[in-house]
Amino acid sequence: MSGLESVFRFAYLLMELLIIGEVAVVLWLFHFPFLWKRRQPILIGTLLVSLYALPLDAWAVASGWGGFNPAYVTGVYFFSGALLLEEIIFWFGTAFVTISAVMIFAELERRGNPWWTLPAAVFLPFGFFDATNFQQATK
Amino acid sequence: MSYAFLLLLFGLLPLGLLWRTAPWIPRRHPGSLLVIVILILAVSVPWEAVAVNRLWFYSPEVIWGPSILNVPVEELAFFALDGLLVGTLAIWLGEQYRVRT
Repeated sequence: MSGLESVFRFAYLLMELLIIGEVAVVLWLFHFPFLWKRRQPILIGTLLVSLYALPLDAWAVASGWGGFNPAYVTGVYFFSGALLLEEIIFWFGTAFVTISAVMIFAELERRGNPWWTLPAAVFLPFGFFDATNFQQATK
Repeated sequence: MSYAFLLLLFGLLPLGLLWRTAPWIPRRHPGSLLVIVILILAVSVPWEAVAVNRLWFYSPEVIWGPSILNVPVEELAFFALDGLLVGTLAIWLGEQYRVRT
């Protein structure tokens, strides 16, 4: 296997790190105190979602519903070859990021911020929203 | 069984049950649920458009066939349902935390 081919085998893993990892870092960087206080429900939710979805994922792959190109994945499989390492990271990662983000959005919505301002909360702290008149503007 | 039926059984059905059990979640937080679905689609569609038939593939026997930007419609429905289901769970868990503290 050439050097370039070995790099390609990490394509899916790198996509996950770049997309899911990046969003997770940004979310937690700007909302660390809020999310840290809620670490327990975030972890419970992440575990619940992953435990629900991973057996379905493994079953679908084992049943031939789809598959992965061996050139672009690590090739590390669990449960008799049905569950790819990257899929485990995908489910844990996306559940963790989604739950963290929605907890932030729901808190802002509870404070009266309009829905169209919520995407900005990914990279703006609560202080920004409190300092603006979004809540008053919608009343 | 098809991918669409799997989504119906393990996505739409539990979502309906959750919203029936806790109707306050979609009523009080429609914005949070809408925004998370939009963001998930915005991030996932370009990713999937590149990955489908390169990094991974779906058996033509389990998908209907129509696709948008190379992404099967079932996969788009999956992302929307995933956002709604996980978002609903997050709001419920967040509320439990708020009530407890």
